[in-house]
Amino acid sequence: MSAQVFRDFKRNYPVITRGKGVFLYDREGRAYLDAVGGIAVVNVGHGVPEIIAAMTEQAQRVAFVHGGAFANEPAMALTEELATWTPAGLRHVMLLSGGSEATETAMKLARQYHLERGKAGKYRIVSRWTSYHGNTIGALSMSGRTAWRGEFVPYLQSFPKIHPPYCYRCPYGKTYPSCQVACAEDLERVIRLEGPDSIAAFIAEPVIGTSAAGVTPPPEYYPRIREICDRYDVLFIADEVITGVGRTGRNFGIDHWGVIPDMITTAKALSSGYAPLAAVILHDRVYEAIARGSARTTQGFTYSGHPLSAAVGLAVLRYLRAHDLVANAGRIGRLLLERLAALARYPIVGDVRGTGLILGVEFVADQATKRPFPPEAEITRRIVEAVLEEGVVVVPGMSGLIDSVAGDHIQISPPYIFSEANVDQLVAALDTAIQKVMREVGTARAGG
Amino acid sequence: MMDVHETTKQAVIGWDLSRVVFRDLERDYPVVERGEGIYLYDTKGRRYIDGSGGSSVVTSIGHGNKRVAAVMAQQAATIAFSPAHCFANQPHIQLCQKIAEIAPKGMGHTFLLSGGSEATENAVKFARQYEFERNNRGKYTVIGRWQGFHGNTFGAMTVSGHTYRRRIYGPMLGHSVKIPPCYCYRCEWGLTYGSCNLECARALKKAIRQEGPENVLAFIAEPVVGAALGAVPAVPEYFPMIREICDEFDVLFIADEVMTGFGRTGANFGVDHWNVLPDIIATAKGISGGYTPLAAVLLRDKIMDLLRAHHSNFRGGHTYCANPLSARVGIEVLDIIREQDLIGNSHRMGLPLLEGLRKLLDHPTVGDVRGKGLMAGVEFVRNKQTKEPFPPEYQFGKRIFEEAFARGLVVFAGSGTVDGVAGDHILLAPPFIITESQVDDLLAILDEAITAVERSLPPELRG
Amino acid sequence: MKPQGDARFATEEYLRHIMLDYRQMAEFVKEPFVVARAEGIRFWDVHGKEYLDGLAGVYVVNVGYGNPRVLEAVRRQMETLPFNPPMHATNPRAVELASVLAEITPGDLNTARLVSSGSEATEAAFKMARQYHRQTGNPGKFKILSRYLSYHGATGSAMSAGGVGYRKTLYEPAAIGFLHTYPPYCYRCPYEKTYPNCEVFCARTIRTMIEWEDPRSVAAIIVEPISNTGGIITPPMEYLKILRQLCDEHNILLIFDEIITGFGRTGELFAANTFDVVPDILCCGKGMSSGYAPLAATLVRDHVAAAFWGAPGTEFAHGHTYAGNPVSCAAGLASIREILDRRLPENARQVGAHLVKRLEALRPLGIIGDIRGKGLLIGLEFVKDAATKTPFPAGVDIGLRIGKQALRNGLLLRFDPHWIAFGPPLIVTQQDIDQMVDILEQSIREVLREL
Repeated sequence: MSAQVFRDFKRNYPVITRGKGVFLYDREGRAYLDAVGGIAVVNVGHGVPEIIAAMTEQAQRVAFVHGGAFANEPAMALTEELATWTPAGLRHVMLLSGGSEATETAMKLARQYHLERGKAGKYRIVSRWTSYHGNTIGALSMSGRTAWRGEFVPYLQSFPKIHPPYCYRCPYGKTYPSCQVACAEDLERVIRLEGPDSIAAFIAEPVIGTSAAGVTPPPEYYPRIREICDRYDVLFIADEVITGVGRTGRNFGIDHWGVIPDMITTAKALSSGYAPLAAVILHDRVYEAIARGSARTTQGFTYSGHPLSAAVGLAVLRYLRAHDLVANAGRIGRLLLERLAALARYPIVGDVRGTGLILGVEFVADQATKRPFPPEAEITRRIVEAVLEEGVVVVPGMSGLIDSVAGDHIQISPPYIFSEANVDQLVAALDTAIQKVMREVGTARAGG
Repeated sequence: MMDVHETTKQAVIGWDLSRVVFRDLERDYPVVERGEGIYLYDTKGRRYIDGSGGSSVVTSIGHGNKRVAAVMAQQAATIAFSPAHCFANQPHIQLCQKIAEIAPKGMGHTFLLSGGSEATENAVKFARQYEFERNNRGKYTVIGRWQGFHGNTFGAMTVSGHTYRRRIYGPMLGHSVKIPPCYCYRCEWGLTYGSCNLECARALKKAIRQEGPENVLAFIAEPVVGAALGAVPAVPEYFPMIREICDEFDVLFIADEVMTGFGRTGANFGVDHWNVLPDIIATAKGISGGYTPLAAVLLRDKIMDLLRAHHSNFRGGHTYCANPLSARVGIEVLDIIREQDLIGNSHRMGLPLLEGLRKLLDHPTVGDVRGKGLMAGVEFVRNKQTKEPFPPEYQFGKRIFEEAFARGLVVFAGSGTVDGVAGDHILLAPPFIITESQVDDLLAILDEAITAVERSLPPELRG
Repeated sequence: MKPQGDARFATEEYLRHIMLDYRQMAEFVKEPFVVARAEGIRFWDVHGKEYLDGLAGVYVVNVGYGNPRVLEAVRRQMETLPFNPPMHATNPRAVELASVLAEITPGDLNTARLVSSGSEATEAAFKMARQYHRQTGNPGKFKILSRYLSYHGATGSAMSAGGVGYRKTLYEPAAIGFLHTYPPYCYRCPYEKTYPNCEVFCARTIRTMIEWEDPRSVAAIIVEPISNTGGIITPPMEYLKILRQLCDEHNILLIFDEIITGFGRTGELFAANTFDVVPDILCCGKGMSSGYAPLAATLVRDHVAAAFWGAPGTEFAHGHTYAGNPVSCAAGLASIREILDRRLPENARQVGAHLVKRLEALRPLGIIGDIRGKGLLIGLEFVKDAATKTPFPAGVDIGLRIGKQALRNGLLLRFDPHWIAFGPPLIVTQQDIDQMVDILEQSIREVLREL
C-alpha cells in the first residue's frame, strides 16, 4: 500500500514522469494531450527552459527569506510587472502561495478595510451558489460548493449566497435579455434585506471555473454588480484564481466587462504551475485606507513573497508577453468554442460555453427539456475516462451543478500555447468519447 | 535582477515600491540578494546570520544549496505540474515514502500541501471526516491553547490562541475552546513544576467534559510552542497525559509540527521527545527548507484504514497538493538532512546554543531562556523578580530585533507572551548546518544587541 | 403646574428611567404615551384620553380587556398557588393547559413545552428541532431556514432567524446556521412574477436553497403563516402546502410561528387550520392568555415528542423560571375557553370581512395600494400611485404619519413607513370597526392635506 494519500482512495492513478509543451508522458511512455493545463494552471506549457533557468538562478541565490525582515528583488520585480497587467487603480500586490490563501486574505482585508474606516459591523461576504473560492474554512464559507462543504458545515460562516448567472438553467426561469439580468439585481435585494451595514464584500469568479466551467454572464452583469456594490459601500472582489493572467484572452477576466474591482485574487496561471504562487491585488482606495489607518496587516504566511516562486512568476509573465500568448488564448479559445459547439449534434450535449481558454461542455439526458442524467449514471466520469483513453486529459466539472447533486459537465482549460492541431486532436477525442459513452448508456435513453 | 536598489524606501527609477504590500506598511526593508549556508547578503553586500531559519524556522539545510537548485531545474524540465485528478507522479509517491520512514511508527500515510495553514486546516478536516465516518457526527469542536499559533486562514485562526492575529476578525471566527499552555515560567495556576500536579494538562480533561466529549473532535497543540510564546517546550509528563486524556474521551490529538517537524528540535518530530503517538501531524517549513512551499499532513494508520474501508474520499486539498516539483525538492532536502546527519547536528548544536543563552540571564532584562534542539527562545521582562513585562507600546522585542539586525543577525521577535498583548520574546532557529563557532558568533551579537537596548531604556522603564 | 398622580409618569423626569422596545426615548418623551387603564376594546391614557384599540395591544388581547372570567381564574390561582418549583414539579393548570392545547390544535400536535414569551417559544423550537434530528440519527442537521422581513423574537437565535437586517446589525455576529429566503410578497413579487402564473415560485425555489445548503444540514424551516413585520404578508393558499411537501421530502421540520396568528386571529383557531397544513412544531403565545399573564408554548407532533421520551439524556433542556407557571396557565385556560365558548374565530372571520369591505371603500383616496390578510389581521399598503404601485419616496413615511395621526385621533393601529395594520380584539363588532375605519379615514385625509 502506498504511503501517499490520494483524494480518491479507490482510483488507480497512472504515474506521470515527464511533460513537454502541451504533452504529458506516463511511466510506460504513453503521451497525453494536456487540455486542462494541469487544472487551469499551466499556460506556457510544460518544461519551458526560460522558466527553469529563472528558477534555478534564483534557487542558487536565495530561495527563501521571510517577509518580516527582508524584501527581495524577485518579489518586487514581479509585483511591479503584475501591476502593469491589472485594471486601472489595482496597483498593490500581496504575494501568496495558493488560491485559498488569496481569497482568505482578500476576505480579511475586506474586513480590515471597513474597520479602518469605522464600519465595524461590515463582515459578511456575499457570494454565489455554484462557485468555488478555496478549500480552507474562510474560503469554503464563501464557496457555493455543497459537496465539499459537506461535513465541515459546522465550521463555516453562514454567509448569504445568491444564484449564479447561469443562463442555460436560469434559476428564475427567465430568458436573457428579457430577464433584465435579474440575477444581478438579486445582489441588491440581499444586501438591503441582510442590512447593508453588515455586508463587507461580494466575491465572484468573472467566468465560473470548475463549478460550472465556462459560464459567462451577460455584458450588463458586472457593471450592474459594480453599481450595487458602490451604492452600499460593499467591496467587489473578483476571484480570478482561474481567470486571471490571460486565461480568458484578456489580462484579467473582468476586463471583458470593463469593470474595476476593489480586489483581485489570482493564482494558478501566475506561475504556470512551476511553483505555488498566488496574489491579492488591491485597488488604491483599499490600500490607502489601510495605509492611512493602522498601516499594518496581520496577513501573510511563511511563503508570502517567496523569492523563488516570485522569480518563476516574473519569468512566466515575461514569457507570456514575449510570445503574445494572452492573445493566442483568445484566438484559440474562439476557435475551440466554435468547434465544441458543433458537438451539439449529439443528443447528450446540452450546452457549450466559455470565454478564452476556460470552457465547459454540459451533458444532458434530453436536449429539449435539459433533463440531466441521474447522478449514478456517472456521465462526467465516463466522459473524462473515455477522453483519457484517447490520450487527452480534460477535467471533470464539479458534479451537481444543477441542484448540488445532479448535472454533468467537463472543463477544458488548455495551456495558452495550444495550436489548431491540438484543437483538432482534442475535439476528435471528445467526439469519440461522446459516441462511446452514448453506446454505454444506450442512445435511446440518451435521446430521451 | 537588472536594477540594484538597497532598501525599500530608497527611490530607484523604474521601481514603484508601493506596489508591494508588506506586512508593516511603514518599515524600511533592506533587500536581500543572496544566501549561502547560514548567511544572507543584502544588495549592499552586508552579511546577516540567519538566526531564525529564514525568520520563521524554515531554513533547515541552509541557503543556496546547489543540489536543491539542480534537482529543481531537472524536475521543472521533466514535469513541474500535472493534473492531479487523473495522474499520480513519481516524486509525490517517493516523498510520501521518505516521510513514512522518519515519521513516528504507525503514521505511515501522508497528504502533501503547500503551507502550514493548509496543513492544519486539512488536519482538522481529516479528523472531522474520520469521526463523521465513525458516526461520531456531533464531534466538531477543536480545543486549542492560548498562545498557540496554527496558521492564518480562518479555520486555522479559529483554533489558534494568537490574540494579535485574531482580534479584528471576531465575528468571522468559528467556535473553539482554548486552554492555557504548558508554560512553567508563567504558570496559569501559579504553581511550580514538580509539585503542580500538571494542572495544565488536566485542564484539557476539564475542557472536554465541560464541552461534552460527544462534541469534541480534537485537541491541537505545538510540542514546542513557537511563534507566539518563543520556543516553550512542554514538561516531560505533559504529552503522555494529554494522550491519555484524549484516549479516555475519544478525542483526536493533532500535533502541530509545522515548526518542530523534520529535526528542528533535535529529533525527527517534536513529539518524539515525549515518546507519544499523535493521531495526526501537521507539518511544513523544514520539510522543504524554504526552497519551495511545501507542507504535509501525516495520518495514523487507523485513520487511513477506516477512510479506505468507508471509501471516503478526502474532501480537502488544493491546486498544488500533489505537484511534482515541490515534492522533488522535499525529497532532496530530506536526503541532505539524512546524509549529513543534520538532525543529529540540530541536537548537538542545540546544547551550546541553550548553554550560551543561559549566560544571557545575567542581563537585567532577560527573564527566561528555553528551547529544544535548534529552537530556542529568550523572554524579556522589566523586573526579574516580579516578571513584570515591558509596556507593549515600548515594543521591546522589536527593538531587540532591530539592534540585532543592525549588527548582522536575524532573529524572530514576538509579543503577547504574557497575556496575548504584553510580553516580549525572541525566537532563535538557525539552519541545522550551523557550527559551534557560528553559534558563538550568534550569541555574541545577541549579547551586544541586548546590551544596546538595555542602555537606551528610559529611566522609568528600568527594573 | 406639575402633573399629579399617574400623569407625572408621562414626563421626561420619570421616563428617563425606562427603555421601550424600538422607541427612541428622546423622541418618545416629546409625545409620551402612557396607558393607565382599559376596558373591553378601549383604553385610556394617564391624562384620561380614550382610545379604540385596533391592535389588541399588539395582537394580544383577543378576549378584550377586563374579561371577568379570566380575571376570576387568575385571582383564584393567585390565592391557591402562585408559583411552583419549575425544575422539580409542575402544576395542575399547566398539565390541564397542555392537554387542552393538544385537543384544540390540528393534527397530532399533542405535546407542549410551556414558556412565557414568543421568543422563548421560537428558541425552544430551534433547539428541539436540532435535538430531534440528533436523536433520530441525523446529527448533521442544524440549519434553520427562514424568510427575509420576518420576525421570530428578540433573543439570540430568534433574532438570527428574523429577517429584518437593520434590526440585527448592531448585535452582530448573528448565530451561525440561520439562512434566509424571500417571502411570498405577491404585491411586489421579488421574482417579478404574477400569481397564479408563477405557480408559487417563491415556495418552489426554496427547494433550490435546500439543495444547495445541503438537505443533510437543514434542520427546520420557520415561517409565520402570515408575516406581520413585512406588512401582513399573506401567502397564496398553496404556499404552505408546498413547504410542507418540501419538508417531508428532505426530513426537515416545518415550524409555524403562530404567535400572532394563533387563537382565532385569522378566522380559524390557528392559521394552520386556515391554510390546512399541519406543521411539525407550532409556536404560539399572545392571544393564548390574551395578555392577562405572560404565556407562550411550543407544540410538537407525536413523532417529534417521541424522540424526547425514553432514555435519560434525551430530555429537552430549556430552563425558564416562569415556564408553565400556574397563574399564566390559569389565564390561558380561561382565555382559551372564552375564545371557544364565544366563537371568537367565527367573529373574526365575519367582522374581518366587514373590515376589508370598509377598507376597500377607501381606495378612491388614491393611496391604497394593497389590502391583505385574513380574519382580523388585515394590512394596508400605501402607495403614491396605485396604478404603477410607486411607493412614496423615502422620508415621507406615509404609514407612520397616518398611524400617528390616528393615534392622536384616538385609534391604535400597527404602523410602519409604508403600511398600517389592524389586529383588534376578537370581540369587536361591526359598529366598532365602523368607528375605527371612520377615524382612519379622517386621519388619512388630514395627512393628505398636510402633504
